[in-house]
Amino acid sequence: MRLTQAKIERIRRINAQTIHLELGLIDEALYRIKPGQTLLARLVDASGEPLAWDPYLREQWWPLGMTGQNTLLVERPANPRYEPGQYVSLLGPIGEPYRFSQRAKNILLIAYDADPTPLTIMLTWLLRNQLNVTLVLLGRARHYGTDHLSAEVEVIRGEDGLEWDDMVMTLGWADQLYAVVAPDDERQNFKALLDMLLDRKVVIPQRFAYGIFQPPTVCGTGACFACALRMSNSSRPRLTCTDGPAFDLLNVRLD
Amino acid sequence: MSICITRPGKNALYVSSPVMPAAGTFGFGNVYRSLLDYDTLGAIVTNPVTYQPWSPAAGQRVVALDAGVLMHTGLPNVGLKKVIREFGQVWASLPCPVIVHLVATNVDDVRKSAATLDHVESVAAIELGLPDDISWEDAQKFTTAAVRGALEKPVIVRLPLGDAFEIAQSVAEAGAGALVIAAPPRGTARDKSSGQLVQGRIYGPLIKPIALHMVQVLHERLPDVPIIGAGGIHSIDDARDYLEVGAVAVQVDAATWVQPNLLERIARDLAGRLVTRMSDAYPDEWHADMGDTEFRDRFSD
Repeated sequence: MRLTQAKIERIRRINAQTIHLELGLIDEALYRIKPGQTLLARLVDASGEPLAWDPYLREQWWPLGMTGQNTLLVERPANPRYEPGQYVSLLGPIGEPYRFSQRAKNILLIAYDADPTPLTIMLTWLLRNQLNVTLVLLGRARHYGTDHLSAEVEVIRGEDGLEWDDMVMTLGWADQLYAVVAPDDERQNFKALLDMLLDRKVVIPQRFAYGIFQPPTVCGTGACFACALRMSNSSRPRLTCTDGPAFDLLNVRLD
Repeated sequence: MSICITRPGKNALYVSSPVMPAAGTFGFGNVYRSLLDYDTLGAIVTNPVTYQPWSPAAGQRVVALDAGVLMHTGLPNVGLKKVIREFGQVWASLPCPVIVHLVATNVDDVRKSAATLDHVESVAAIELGLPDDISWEDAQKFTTAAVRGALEKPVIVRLPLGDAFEIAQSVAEAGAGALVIAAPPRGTARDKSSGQLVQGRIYGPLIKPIALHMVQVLHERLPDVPIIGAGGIHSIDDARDYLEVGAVAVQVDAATWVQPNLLERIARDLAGRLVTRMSDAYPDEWHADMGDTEFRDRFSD
């Protein structure tokens, strides 16, 4: 993990809610950042000093990867605060990369009432490795514009709840599943997702259903323990910032 | 540079810099090793430890505030003996003294914990964290238990912000080697995403004037008791203010989370070490985490 600085080079609007930031002057250590790893970012002045203490916590940024011009692409909710030329202090990489089973061919991604960015950042990597991908957008997430995504990604838009057409078939097709849910009560929302899976699928194997946990990240280093999760297979809590963000939902205590 | 941050005596604790991280902000000692130069720190204060294991708090735990944050972690830890087993070697390898923060749960556990820590060579001192809304009698009992348990090591007592005026004298009389003024205050805030009210400790720059005032008053009232100032330090000047009103050292809390190199910069400044960088350096070329790429480009030939 490093504390480095970058500069916003370009900003591109990709849909009504989302922008892509291109960050230049990226430290070489971040060239190898992998899907699932994040950065904690704060706007700073040219000398690296924070512009203000409000907002106090660093923002969690989900990088899509490096571009051909040695800039790092980051997906963010559209925000007029970002401008080309601004300097950004970056702390990271935070967390562990997503893990995919070697035998997995079909990956199901579910965004339920949450911004699907933690899922869309892995699409390039999945398609490059010739995996089949279906993205299911439910609740608030169904308004997410997907025109910028590759045509190889099947996009299904559901309704308000945790249901969509042909869901039994989709769940049966998937070898592995990654999900994001509304962060207001992640455990309860993941529990609802897991219950739905148990209803629709006879057996949920280990390393099948992964939840991407997104509590507010305070330190990103494992120092503050604000993101600790209770595990069902161990008395030792796991930290979302250093051990996550993705956890097998069968191993997390969601009660 | 050598500073005594506890009362003089055979158990006195000397440090090379008057700057250390506050309990709960620095993990158990090794999480910031890739980001900070530990040589610059006077000591490291561990995350809170209890005699028995504690689980994380349930529900929403972090609420972002204007220029601050409210947090309620539940002080999760695997229990004192496991913590010592896991981190004893790490502590021994650190270049600065380690102070273990002990949570005052009950008198018996405090005494047993202090006695256990007394035998751990890699631990330099014990910091006892008193609960909020504690009476001076209970504060005295907890402090006495810790002091009687730790015969060889100084016991530093962290006072709750709201009760520091009332209990400081009795804690000092019970044998506290130094006082930490103060623990982050408790508050309640509404989490916007869930709509729930959340209780927890408040961190941010606004805490500093309150804690600074308390340090000033208590230093005048108890001039012989060393005071370590803590709360809301977010700049070098903030830290210097604490020393000016009588603190022997300072603890930096949440600033380490949001701007990790700030702790090192404050420590360098207050210890009289080099604080400037090369005039043409990039902003992130700052000692501990100097960007390798630029460094190599510039100095490879």
